[in-house]
Amino acid sequence: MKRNVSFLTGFFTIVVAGLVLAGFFLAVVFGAQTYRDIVAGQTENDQTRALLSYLTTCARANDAEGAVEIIYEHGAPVLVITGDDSGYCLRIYHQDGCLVEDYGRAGTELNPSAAQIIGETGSFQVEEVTENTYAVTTDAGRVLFHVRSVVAVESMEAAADGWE
Amino acid sequence: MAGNDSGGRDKNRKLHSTAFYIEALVLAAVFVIVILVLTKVFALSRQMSAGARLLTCAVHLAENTAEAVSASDSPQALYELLDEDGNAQIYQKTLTQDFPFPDYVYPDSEWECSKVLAWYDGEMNPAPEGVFLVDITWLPEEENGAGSGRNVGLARCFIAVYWNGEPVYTLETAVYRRQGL
Repeated sequence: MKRNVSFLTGFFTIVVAGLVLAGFFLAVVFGAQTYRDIVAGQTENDQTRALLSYLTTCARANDAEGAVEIIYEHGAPVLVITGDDSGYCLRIYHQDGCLVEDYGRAGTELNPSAAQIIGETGSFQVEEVTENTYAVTTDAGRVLFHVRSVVAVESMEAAADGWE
Repeated sequence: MAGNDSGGRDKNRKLHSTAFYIEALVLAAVFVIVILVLTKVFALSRQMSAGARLLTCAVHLAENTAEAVSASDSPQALYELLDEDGNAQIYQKTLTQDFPFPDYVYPDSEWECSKVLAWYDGEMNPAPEGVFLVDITWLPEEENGAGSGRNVGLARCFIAVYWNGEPVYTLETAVYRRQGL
């Protein structure tokens, strides 16, 4: 009788300890998986914002007539954004699985070694969808930007002609 | 005497065993409560992460649409810019009280406006039956109030992004049209 009581007590203790340990391990595993997924999602969001919003910000910061141009180097597209009359421009292109930009003299060769990485992408395509509207496609999606200054200049010229 | 002593010892042992069982059960109950709270926190954090991803996509789609609006001088031009593989629709609508932008003061009389709808999938690619819906209301402003027939060239656009029917993000923009409608 005494042995049975001792056995039951010991068994009960082991079962409770086992449940506590199992619950602890499950919580740790579930928590770690959740944390990993959240970090992956945050990284993906940051990548999307970096790749897409940066391009429109670049274009808007240098919004001027003739500021945006698409050229091809070794068959790959390069987005050239000229901000002023200095003769230097921003060149955005795809290099070694990344979207990079370098700042160099217009018309010269690209300088990938001095380029700054914007984000990781396996693809990069640029096209002019309509007049003064460009679409850039990367792994993160497609972004549109419109050069507004050309329209403003044309409107001002039309208004000036009307006054004359 | 000996009989009384052994009876007393048995009673003590029973008391100790019962106390131990009760303490163990209370400990297990507290542990279960803590695990449940942690599980709820983890589930909530996953939900918030998914919400952040949705919001990022919705903001990007709205931003793209706003750029398309600035590049368009008519709802038809906007529709042609957004339509890819049949993911967009355009139609005329009479603006009523049921409007997703309650802060905008619109006239009492009903205005004819154009609606452009565009659908995108979870990866923000154009898809006719996508989960994201971008709803654009093109509302031309007219000089001297509605119905005067004169266009001053400004068109307001109200962009609303929905995910499975739930509104996620809204944006208001405007474009000056060189050619009036």
